[in-house]
Amino acid sequence: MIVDTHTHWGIVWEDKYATDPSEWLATLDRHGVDMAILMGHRGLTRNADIERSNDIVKKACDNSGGRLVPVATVHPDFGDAAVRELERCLVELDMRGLKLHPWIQGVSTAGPVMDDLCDVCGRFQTPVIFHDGTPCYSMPSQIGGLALRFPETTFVLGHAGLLDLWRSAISIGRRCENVCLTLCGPHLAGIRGIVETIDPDRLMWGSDYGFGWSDSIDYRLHLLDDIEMDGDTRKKIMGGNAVRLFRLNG
Amino acid sequence: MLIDCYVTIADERETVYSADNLVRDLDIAEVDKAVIAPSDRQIAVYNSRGNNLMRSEADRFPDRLIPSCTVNPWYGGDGIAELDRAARNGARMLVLHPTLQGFLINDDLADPLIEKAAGYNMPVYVHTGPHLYGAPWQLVDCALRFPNVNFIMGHAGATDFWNDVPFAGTFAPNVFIEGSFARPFSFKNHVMKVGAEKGIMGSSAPRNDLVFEWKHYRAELADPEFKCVFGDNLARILTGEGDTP
Repeated sequence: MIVDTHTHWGIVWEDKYATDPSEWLATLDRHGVDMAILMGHRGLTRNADIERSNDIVKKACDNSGGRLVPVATVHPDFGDAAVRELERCLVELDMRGLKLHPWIQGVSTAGPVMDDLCDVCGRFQTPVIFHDGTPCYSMPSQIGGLALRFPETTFVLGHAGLLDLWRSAISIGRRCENVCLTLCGPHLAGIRGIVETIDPDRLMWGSDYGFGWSDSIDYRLHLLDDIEMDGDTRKKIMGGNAVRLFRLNG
Repeated sequence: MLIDCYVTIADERETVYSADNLVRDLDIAEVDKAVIAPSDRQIAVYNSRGNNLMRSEADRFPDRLIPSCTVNPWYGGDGIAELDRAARNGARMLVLHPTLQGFLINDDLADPLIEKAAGYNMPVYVHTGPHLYGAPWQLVDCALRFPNVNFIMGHAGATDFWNDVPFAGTFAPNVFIEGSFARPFSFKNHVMKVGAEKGIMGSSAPRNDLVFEWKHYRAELADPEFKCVFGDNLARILTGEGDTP
């Protein structure tokens, strides 16, 4: 089974299709991708729409026949309200993770509400997925700092350091067993270095599909084709680890 | 004429790639030529060693490989002399890497090098993307001071400066956009906005697989209007209009 662990219900998709993911899923079909972890977009960029964005992401997933799994977002600057919204998403909407994008959201990983959010996710045993690879708020080492301070919480480097910080992502992945890396951002050589170095139980594949209309799946899916790894490792990266982390079996 | 704008020939870290393997991959991808560039270490400190290697490897495949050269601007007058030496030895493109070499492209530190490159009608490839030293608008700021020099925006600001590329890429007529690391699905959007005549194909092999990159970029930019992206635009600034690089 192939699970794309980094996708978005993009603003353009939401504006055109509201909560109907049929066309969105057709792209997955073209590439043989079975399921996707779906994060919001509007909620990351327009603070006033966060609750509505979470509801929309949830409804899009409900309309997917079980192929899309929703992830919440909140804005740490909203203080206690952000914590309450996270708890609503996890309890009432059965969302399977928290997405934070400190670059777009303009928040530091060092803020006090960040601690509360990480603590909640640890208690619910649901991962915190970070955009990473981008200074000055979204560096792998900063997210690694959270991972060191919250060892009971699982953190996901959503881009494994991107093009410039993938070596830092490797170092953080080595140090922190509660950090997973999504192979969605480094070039081929960087991905190869990560696969050769990091525990294969903590690696996942993602495409970043859905931000706009572009089809990023084909390129990013086949980028891994020529990387040497045993069959078991490939299965874990392409879906097996996601099944476990996001509780896709129910 | 199909030309890959940027391939590293080196034997360390994530860039282990020989000229023989490059020519093999060019054959598989049905690409005519590639511009070869030195390793990170040679870009940062051992410039002469890298420039000599590019020259000698290009000499082994004179119809396929085009040597670039690099000089760290912090070498000052010695660096100018090295650029003179490399240019006289046949280097066709100056590679500057502000992040590895530790300078701002819109500072005046590199100005003497750029002026020297202009004297050789040599385009200047500038790595962009890293946050402090790789912003597209930094390059444009520099390019506007040197309107007689052609600059290549390496990697089109990937990853995070993608949104700056359309404006930055069109603002300075002497800035071309090279697409390695930008990924075909994003690079197409850039080229459509800045104009096909300013797009340049590069693979950044061996950090990427040359054959894979050419396959996917060709598929994404399959329309005839993009044909010039795959070699003609680069040929024009490497040689002057109409010549064969």
